[in-house]
Amino acid sequence: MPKRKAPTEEASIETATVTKTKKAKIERRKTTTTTLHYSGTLSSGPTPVQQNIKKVFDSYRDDAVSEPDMIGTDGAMRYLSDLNVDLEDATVMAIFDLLDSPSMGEFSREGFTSGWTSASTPSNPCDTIDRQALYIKTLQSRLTSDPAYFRQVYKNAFKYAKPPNQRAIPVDDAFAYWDMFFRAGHSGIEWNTSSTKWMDLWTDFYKERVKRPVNKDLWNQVAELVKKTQEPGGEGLGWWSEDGAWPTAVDDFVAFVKEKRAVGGMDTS
Amino acid sequence: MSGRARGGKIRAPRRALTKDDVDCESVWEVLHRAFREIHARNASQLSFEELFRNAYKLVLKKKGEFLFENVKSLEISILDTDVKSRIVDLATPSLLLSGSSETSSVEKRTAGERFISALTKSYQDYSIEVGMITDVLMYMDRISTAEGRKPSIFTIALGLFRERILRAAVSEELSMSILDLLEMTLLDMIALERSGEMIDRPLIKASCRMLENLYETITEEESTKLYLTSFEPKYLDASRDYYRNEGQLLLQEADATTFCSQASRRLKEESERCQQSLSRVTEPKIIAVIEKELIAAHIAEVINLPGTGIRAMITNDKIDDLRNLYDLVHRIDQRLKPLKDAVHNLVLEVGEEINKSALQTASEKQQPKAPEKKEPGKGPPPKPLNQQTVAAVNWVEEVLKLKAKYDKLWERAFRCDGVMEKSLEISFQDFINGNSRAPEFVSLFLDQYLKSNGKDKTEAEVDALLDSGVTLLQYLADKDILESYYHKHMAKRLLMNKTISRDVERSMLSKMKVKLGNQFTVKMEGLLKDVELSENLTKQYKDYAAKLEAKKSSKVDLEMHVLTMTVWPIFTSESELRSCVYPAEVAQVKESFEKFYLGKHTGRKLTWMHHMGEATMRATFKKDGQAVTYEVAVPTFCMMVLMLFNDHEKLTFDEIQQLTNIPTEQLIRTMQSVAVAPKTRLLKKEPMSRDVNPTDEFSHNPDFKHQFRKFKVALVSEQSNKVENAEERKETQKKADDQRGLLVDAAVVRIMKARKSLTHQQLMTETIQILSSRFQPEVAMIKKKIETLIDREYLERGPDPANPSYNYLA
Repeated sequence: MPKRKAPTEEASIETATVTKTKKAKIERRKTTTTTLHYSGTLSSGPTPVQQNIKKVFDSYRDDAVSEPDMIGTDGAMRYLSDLNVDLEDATVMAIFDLLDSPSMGEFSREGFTSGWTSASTPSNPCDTIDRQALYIKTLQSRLTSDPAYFRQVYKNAFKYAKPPNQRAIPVDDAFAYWDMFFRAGHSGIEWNTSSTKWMDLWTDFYKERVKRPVNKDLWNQVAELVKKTQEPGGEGLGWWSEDGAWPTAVDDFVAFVKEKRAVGGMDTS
Repeated sequence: MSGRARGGKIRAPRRALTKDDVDCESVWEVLHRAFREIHARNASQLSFEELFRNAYKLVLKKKGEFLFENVKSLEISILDTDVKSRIVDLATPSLLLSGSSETSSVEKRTAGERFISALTKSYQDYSIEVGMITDVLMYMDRISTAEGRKPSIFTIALGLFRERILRAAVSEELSMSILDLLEMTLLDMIALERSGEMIDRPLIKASCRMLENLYETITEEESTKLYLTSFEPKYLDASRDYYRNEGQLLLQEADATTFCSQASRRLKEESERCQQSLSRVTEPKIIAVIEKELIAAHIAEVINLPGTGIRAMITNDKIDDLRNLYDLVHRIDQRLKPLKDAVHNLVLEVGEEINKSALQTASEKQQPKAPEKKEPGKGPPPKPLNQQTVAAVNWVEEVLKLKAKYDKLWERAFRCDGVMEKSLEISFQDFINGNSRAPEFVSLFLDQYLKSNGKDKTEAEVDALLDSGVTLLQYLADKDILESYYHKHMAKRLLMNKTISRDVERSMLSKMKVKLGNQFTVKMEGLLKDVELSENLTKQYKDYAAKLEAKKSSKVDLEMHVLTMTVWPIFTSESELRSCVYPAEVAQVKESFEKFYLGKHTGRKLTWMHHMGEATMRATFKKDGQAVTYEVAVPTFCMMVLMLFNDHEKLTFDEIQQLTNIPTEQLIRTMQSVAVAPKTRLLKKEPMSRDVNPTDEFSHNPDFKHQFRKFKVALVSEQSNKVENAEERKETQKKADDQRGLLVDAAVVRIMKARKSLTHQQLMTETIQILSSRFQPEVAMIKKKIETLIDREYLERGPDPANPSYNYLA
């Protein structure tokens, strides 16, 4: 999976290419990414694949003059529909993740180019809309088949789900995304096990008892919670201990589930 | 010549030997006869020198082997015939049938003693005899043992004794060996002794010594002594059965005290037995048997025996029994688990009882108070705190009594055991903190005795009480709550001039400091400092005022406390700080002081706490031409109101409020104090009722009378005092909670800043550890604080969810 670098590191890469060997270990793909970004100043020119990607990017820009390096909301919608992606589908979050969108419904040139460049292989370049749509299909199936990848996309989604300049996602928004990730039909991981409809319980619990906006920590820990409940034997909640480091909301949720089971006589084995 | 002489000397014996070398049979014959004489105890006739030479001769002639074998078969025949028959004869049927009921114990005993004494005697004689023979055969032994082929003839002979005597069957019909019989008889005798009969201890000792001197094999390894290989295991087995049995019997029939004393007696008996009858090596083993079978198996049950167990012992202060019990438990378990648990439960039980009755006392007051409200004519209602204080003092006294009791037990019964000390401490902590109001109670208790009104006690008594109160401090988990209560109580004492003396207060603080640390008393020391400064200030102001006096001649004497806002826990709502209107004379003094004070300290602000003040005024009532002057101590608000009636005949409540600007609620209470409270009706109220309405009219009361010339008007306590108290308590709790939140926050950040990265568990432990000197932080609270710190990006979670940890983000 592509690993993004913080801006400061990219700056250092630039110097590294000219001066020191210390950074020589950095993979080629990254170097090309940066060189492309600073294409005006560095000697090596862009590859044909990158030029094609650039063309795709350029064609979706909202305003080529005032924001030449951005695809805005309108362009993004067009782009996603051209990729045949359902906006309600978790795949959307995978695309934002892949192209390192600065915010919901936006693509930057830098993220777009580096994302697609890294997705490309010599035999299989992702440099046209059709090829990209094909690649997106593989991402969609990866979401369900590769839990680690799913979690990466999920965790990264916090950034897009929260309103700008806020620390937490309002409850209703949070559930819109949780439904997308954890309910059937949206390419996510369905959060049910043979004995328990976890997502229903979580919805009831959170909306009735917690009601607080969801902060990043809780957002991330929910992914851990889902993983724990889906591990073999995890349904019984035996993995939970009051000495654990779970957020209070998860502690309370476990108590809530246990209480429900005690009352309803559900099978806890 | 000398050479020849030397040669002759060397050769001479050789020649002599060669001469009679054919004669080894006859030499043996001599020896044989002599040895038989020795065994027949006729050795005095024999010449050792001659025998020795004979034996020496044989060995020199390389007939050592021959000699050795002959001696051996001689010994076998002697043992098989002479010795054995002496013993077997005594293995009488009564002895053999031992255990069966037909044999009377006396008969059995005599037979047994005879048998044992015969056996040990035979052994002793035999070993002496063999010893003599060994001396004769010393040269043979030296040669053969030096060649490392054979053990000494003495060892051989004793081995033969073991084989031919001890291992021999008692009779032809029985498979039982003599050793078996001996051991059985010994065990029977010990059993007799255990059931209280006297037995022949030296005899037993002798037979044990015999067994200790005999070995399983001729190599004579220390661990193969017959005593260790044969007798001791049987003895321990029998003892195990015996004590297992005895334990059950004791439990069925006896009480805990008997059990303990019996067990201790058994321990003593057994070690005595090992010293006097058996062997010292058995002592630790048999003690272990008793510890396991008798004590460890039953002690938990014994401790909890209803009626006689530890509960009864502690209730009835049976120090000796308890010490006995402690000693027994201590033997089997250094951690004293059964005893510890039982004591813990007892302390908790009694402690919870104390808690319950105290809380009941504390809440009881509400009942009798309710009807009292309807009869305002019955005098000022008792101060509502009284009941709380009673409950608090009772509670503390009960706790102290319990503590004194257990301290005594610990010292005298539990031998100042460290484990017990710790356990008792935990028990007390547990139940003391089971009372949610413990910190308040301790503070109220201290308050009670730091107040000067408890005059029925001598200084030393008060001192002792305060000291014991301080000992409770260390048990409190919520020290921060204690701090806030003590702070409040102390402030009240100082302001109301109720404290015994400031020296006592100060010594109290230093005692607390020792127990709880410097930080604890910082605020309280601030109180004392302010009070002292204020005293000086009052004096200075008086001097200052005296200079002005010449011009203005004020009749008002001012005494004040200037209190640092942050140090004093006086709750002031905005309305109370509203500027109330003072009578002109007083206002003048007030202004004069403000001028004086602000002149001394620039940049400070003075806020008057009207509700805290008190005024002493002289009031003259004229009736029937008679004037009576009283000196009345009143709260400041009362003074403000009363002074109005120098200029007015009659005023409504509303008018009074306009004139004085006193907050309504305060004014209502003020008016109740001076016009409703039966003994201090300085004003007349129209209409006369308990409730005060805005239109009520007040006027001078010419009929006023009081039995004393000097008296005090107490501010009527608020009607809802009780409820307010509960609210105040909640307030205190909430404040403490907020304070705790901050402390937890600070502690977590401080730890993480220093450690950079910690696992969840470590962080929890360290946080709790840091804070426990002030209070017992709740895990949930720490977790919440960690969550907010993650949210505020002071911390982040570590990468591995299976091993939760946190990193500090600079």
